[in-house]
Amino acid sequence: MKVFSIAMNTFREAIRNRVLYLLLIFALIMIGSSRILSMLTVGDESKIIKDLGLFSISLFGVLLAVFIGVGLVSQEIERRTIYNILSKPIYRHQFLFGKYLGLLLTILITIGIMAAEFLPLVYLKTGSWEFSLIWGVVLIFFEVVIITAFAILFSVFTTPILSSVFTLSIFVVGHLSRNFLILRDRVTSPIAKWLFTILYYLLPNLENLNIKTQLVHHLPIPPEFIPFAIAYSVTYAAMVLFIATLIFQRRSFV
Amino acid sequence: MSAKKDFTIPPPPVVELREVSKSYHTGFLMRKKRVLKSINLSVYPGEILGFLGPNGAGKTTTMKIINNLTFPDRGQVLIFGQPSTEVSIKAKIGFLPEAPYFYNYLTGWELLEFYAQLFGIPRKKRRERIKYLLSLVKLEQAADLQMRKYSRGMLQRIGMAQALINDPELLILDEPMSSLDPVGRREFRDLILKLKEEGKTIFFSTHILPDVELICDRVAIIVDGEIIREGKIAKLIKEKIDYYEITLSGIEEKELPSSCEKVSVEEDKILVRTRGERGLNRTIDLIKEKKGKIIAITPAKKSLEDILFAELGGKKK
Amino acid sequence: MKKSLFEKTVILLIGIALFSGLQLKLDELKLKTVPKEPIYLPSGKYLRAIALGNDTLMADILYLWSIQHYSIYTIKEHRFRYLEHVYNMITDLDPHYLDPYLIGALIMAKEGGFYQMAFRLLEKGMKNNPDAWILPVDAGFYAFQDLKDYELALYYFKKAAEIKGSPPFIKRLIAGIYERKNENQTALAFWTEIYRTAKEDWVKTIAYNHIYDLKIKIDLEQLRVAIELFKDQKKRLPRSLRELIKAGFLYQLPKDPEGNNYLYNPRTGEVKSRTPFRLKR
Repeated sequence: MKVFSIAMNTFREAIRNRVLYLLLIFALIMIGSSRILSMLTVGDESKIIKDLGLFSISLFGVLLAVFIGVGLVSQEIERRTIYNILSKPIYRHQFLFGKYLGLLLTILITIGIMAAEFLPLVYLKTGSWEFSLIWGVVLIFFEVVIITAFAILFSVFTTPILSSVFTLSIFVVGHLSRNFLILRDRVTSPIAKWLFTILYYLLPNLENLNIKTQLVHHLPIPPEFIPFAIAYSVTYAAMVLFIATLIFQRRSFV
Repeated sequence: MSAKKDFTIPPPPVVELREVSKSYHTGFLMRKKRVLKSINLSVYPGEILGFLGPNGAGKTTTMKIINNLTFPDRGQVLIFGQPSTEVSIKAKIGFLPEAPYFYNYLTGWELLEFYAQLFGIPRKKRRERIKYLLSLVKLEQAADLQMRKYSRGMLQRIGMAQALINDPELLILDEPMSSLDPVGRREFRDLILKLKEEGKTIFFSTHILPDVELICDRVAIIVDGEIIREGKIAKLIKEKIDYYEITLSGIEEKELPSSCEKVSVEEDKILVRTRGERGLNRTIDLIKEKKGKIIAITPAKKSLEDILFAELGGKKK
Repeated sequence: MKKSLFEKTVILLIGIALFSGLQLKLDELKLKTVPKEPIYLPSGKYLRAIALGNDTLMADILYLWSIQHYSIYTIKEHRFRYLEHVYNMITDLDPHYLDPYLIGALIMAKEGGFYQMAFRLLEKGMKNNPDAWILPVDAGFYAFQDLKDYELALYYFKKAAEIKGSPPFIKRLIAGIYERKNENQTALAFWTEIYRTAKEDWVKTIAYNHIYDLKIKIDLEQLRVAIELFKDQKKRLPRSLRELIKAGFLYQLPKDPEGNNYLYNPRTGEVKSRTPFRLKR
């Protein structure tokens, strides 16, 4: 399938990117350092390993998406390798989707490596394999699914630097989503209330994919939560990619 | 006065541009720059059409429009009778962009493999095709070399290979010979002629005139976004004609009429240029009259270069 | 894949409706999580904003820092100025992390002597973690051992005992406190209950010992009261314990747990038990 060919090509391109390895090494160091920090704390020593571990995976997953993703399309345009692809019988949306999947595959493997360091560290501290933590990592991946979609969206029409800024902004806003509801409750004018409601639903709510607190404290998670959260991520990312495609269709290459 | 008219209906063009205009905004003030001014162009099946013009004339833009990489502001672009926005027609097209650049971490083989996949060519057939193409462009040795190590000429050749990977009916080549040495250019010309024999239509752009003169059936000259000449080379050159260069002796310079343009005056001979057959006859009569000697008569045709420079001279204000 | 503007808009709207609907559903499922922003101090709120979903990590870092900071024994005047603030920050960020409550209270109580502060912190912990019995037990110990405030200690231990899943030793603590307060009847009631519900033999033994001793104490107390009343009325000490019965100040003579009579000294009016107490006093 053509999308698959482009995805594999993108993957091969991504794993040659030095930034990937730099970020991965930093992530592994950070996760590893939680083991040392756990010796300094008083009380439950596994808590800091879990907190720092999940945080690192989340942070570096997002950074990977941003730093590799924003250059994906713009580099092809800048180096004009895109001419060779689009002059062949391939739809523009196939190209975009292939790039997206290739990047996701790269990030999936990288996150997998991070998780492979993380989980045994927890086991060594607590003596049990806490497999529920894997769900935390899975949802982190689906958070990155949304972020990557935005990275692709911005890379379609703006420079890598601006794309990075915008994508990181989306990440920040995505975690502050709740505040729109708080603001909505605090304002009195119905227009403002309406505005904040729209903003809440329209902008991505990345907290939907954050179960770190629940996992670390062994709080109950309703079983339907995870599938719905994944569905949210997939649907949202699909819409972002759809918009990216619409913009890309109209893009002309100078 | 010209050859007898053809009564055969010309076949439908493979590529047809009708009243295509394109401009874009550039610079700080977003000034509008008109790149193509309502051009009309046709490429007929089985021919080699040369697209000639100085840098910046609009050649690359035209080719990008044909490949749907950029969009015209006005006009129609038809390829194989269908609008250029149709994705399916690209299965019959091969495109080689100007100064091509490829993924430098791939080897030549891997690159062709990748593009072949984009055409949906099945695996077994891919292998055969890639092998064939690599030998065609003489890159078998470099097949497993990463393209970051390819020279300019090698990149050009692998570019040609990828343009041919789907055995296209139409080849669009943007400045394909610009970075080749004379040997490479010779090989390239031979390749194009060979492809023509296979029945392909070839549309290529260049600013190197001898290439055009040697292999093209027809030529279209574009200057400043306008197609100023289009047609068979022979006809084009014959159009603007003719002057004769006469080398003579035995006559004083001052005795020559003003209709004779003096090109060079030496001790024992003078080289003059006259226009048309009438000018020629008059000059011959004059020489006979004055009892001079005709050393040589050379008919000179305006070359493409002359036409081009004339037009350029006209364009320069 | 040509789509008209209308079709594109429809697709977009459907997509937006889809993920908005999912958002609604996710909100409904409402993950059990930190309670509504208890903003005691401004910094808590800002910290949460910075943390970007990593509240518990931030709490960890602060907690780590606080331990290092407060365990360095330097005689600094204002060392404890921000003590409560710091632990409030930590517990605001991660209200379910129990260690900061315990260690914070420890530092406040033992290092600083700020018991009220410690109780405040532990109360906050109890509010946020009603199932954590360790917090009231901790508070109870401070009250019991350091402040000797038995009422307060009882209040906390009872609170702890009410929590489902709290360990049985808490009841023993309560019973012990009642003994301390000399509220022997209540203590007896508790120990009896403990004896009845005890699962292990060693617990039964302990309970029995307490009951044993309590019986002696209660009996002796009863006798003393009767003697006192007699003395008030008759203006003299009874000649024997039996006289108390005859005079109507006692219904019957209590016997000690071994079945012996209690010893009475008619000259001093003291009553003693022949049988010794089982537990060291």
